[in-house]
Amino acid sequence: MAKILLVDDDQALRQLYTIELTGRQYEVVVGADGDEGIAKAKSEKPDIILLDIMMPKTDGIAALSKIKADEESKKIPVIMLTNFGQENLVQQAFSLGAVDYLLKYKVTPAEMAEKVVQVLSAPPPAA
Amino acid sequence: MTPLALLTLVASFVQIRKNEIDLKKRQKEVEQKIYETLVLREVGERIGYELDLARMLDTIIESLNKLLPYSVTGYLLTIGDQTKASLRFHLEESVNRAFLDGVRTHMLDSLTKTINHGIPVENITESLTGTIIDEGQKEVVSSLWLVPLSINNQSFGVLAIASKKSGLYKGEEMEVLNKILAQANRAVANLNKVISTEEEKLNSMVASMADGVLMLDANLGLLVINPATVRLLDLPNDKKPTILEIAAKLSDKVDLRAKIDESVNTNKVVVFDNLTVGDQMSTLLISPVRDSSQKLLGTVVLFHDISAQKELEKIRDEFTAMMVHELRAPLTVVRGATDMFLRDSNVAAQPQGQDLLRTMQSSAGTMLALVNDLLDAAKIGAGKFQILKTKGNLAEIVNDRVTFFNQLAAQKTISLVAENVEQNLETEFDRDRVMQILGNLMSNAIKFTAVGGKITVSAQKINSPADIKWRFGEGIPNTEKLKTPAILISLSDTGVGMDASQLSQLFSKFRQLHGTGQNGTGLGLVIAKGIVESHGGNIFVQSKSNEGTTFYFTIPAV
Repeated sequence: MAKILLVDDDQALRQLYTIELTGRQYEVVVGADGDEGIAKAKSEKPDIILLDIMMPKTDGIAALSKIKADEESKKIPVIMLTNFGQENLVQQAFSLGAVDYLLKYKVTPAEMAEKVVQVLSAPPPAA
Repeated sequence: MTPLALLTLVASFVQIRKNEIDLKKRQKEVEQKIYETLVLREVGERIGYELDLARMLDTIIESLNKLLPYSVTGYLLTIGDQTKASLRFHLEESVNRAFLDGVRTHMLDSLTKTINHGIPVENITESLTGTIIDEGQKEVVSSLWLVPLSINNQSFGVLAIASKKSGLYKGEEMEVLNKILAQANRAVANLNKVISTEEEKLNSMVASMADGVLMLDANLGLLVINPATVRLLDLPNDKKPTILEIAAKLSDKVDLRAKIDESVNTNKVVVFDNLTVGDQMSTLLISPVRDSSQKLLGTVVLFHDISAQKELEKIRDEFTAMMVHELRAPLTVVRGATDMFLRDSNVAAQPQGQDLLRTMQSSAGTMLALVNDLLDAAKIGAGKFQILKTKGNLAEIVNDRVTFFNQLAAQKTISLVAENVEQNLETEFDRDRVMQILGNLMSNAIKFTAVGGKITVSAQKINSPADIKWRFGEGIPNTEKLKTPAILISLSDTGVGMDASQLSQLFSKFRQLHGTGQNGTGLGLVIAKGIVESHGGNIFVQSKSNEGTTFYFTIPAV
């Protein structure tokens, strides 16, 4: 059973996505800010990370760059899951190594979950 | 009448009483003095408004016939570097050309002596007013009076009075002319002072302008450059730059010379928007300057600083973005959850589904509160905010809110306590709105206080501002406008605190403090202030970085 780390400061959204993902038999661990995300990416060893951007303490972009800079967590695929769709943020996220960039207000929880399935079934990157 | 003239008059009357024999003679003198005084005053008033030396002299020579008999009067004025002169004659009665030439010769001689060089006759432009030259007249100059004209010991001309009659212009009677000229002298000196003051005013105005100003002549020579332009374009301070140097500083943004040409050729103000130089955003305005005959005098270039305007636009944009985010998050939850329930109706019956329904309910509540906040802030901003006051005990409200928010505080293991809340705080207030103030302040305090912190709420009646026990010794707010007696409610936290610059923008709309790492619209304090002020009360804040913040507000006691 794959383990998903869901990092979002909004308690209601964590609840919503957790229900959707646990319904599909995934194990879900949550983080409420960037710092928790970075720490749990190492300690929980998730198979995939869903990462919000606008969060207190360390924001999602900074957290992504730290996760990708760390030997232990850099191979974990990260999907950005945010309500901010500015072009520069999207580009920044992809250049830092995010596998996808989802806008919460555009995708339903089911569509989000399908994206997770898709990423998890993809062959790991050669590097 | 001047005091001096009045005194002379009184003195004259005293004299009359003393020497009744001289009565008639004295009376005539007095009449003459009064008349002279009145003419002097009239001339004085008229020349006081003249801004032009020649016109001032015109006024004087036109008035002379009221005081002295003459055939011709005139003035000769040097021009520029004193190699040229202008001559103006006023003919009270007809004379022949030789008469005028004679007067002119005398005037030139006199002028030559005072300015130490001669001016050839061909360099003198002459004009005439009054009656006409008549070669039939045979009389020659029989009486002549010449007065050198000078200001601050600087000679610039000569005034002449000439008559066909002999034996005129002697002794005392010429006193009045000297008085007039002295008055003119003072007026011109004053005028020069006024002109230089006005020039200084203009210069200091241009110098102190926040906007950059350049004034150029018709050949693009730089006439004026103000410090704002020097700063903006980072030009050397010690010497006046050329237009080429100025244009070079802007060459990668705008072709200044082309814009100036465009402005001159089209005879219109040329506007170039969003010119960014350094950290300043300007609108560049170039306007041609023409005289009344449409001759080009030069151009004025203005760098109008729009940084503040842009900053305001930025704040508004940030506010809109924040607002969108604040609404989008709860709406995303509502839409996602409904989508889930519609897909699988069993979910709603499960405990998780029940939780989600409660979350949806609270999301809807959050959005509704947000919309209400926006409406309140808009009403406060427009001065249309209304409250409904009833009698009640503020102590009950304070205790009620402390109990209500205890749960939220406990989640962060923050202790929220009521301390020193007096039992009887009866006054008139809007119950719901005061609860809203307390709610806004308490949720803020919980938000910005770290786990394990403490929030203390107090409420007392105060009879004067001196009764307020401020939490910090420094940064005591100004209580000049505080109405007492009043109920003072204070709320102290052990949160992150704020510095002076953060405090100054605390109650302004659209500004949640940057870098707080907290979500929020920043409207809570704007609304709290609006409600307090609608009650006739005041709101104050004291804060120290890393020690905490205390909010104080008053509701007038009745």
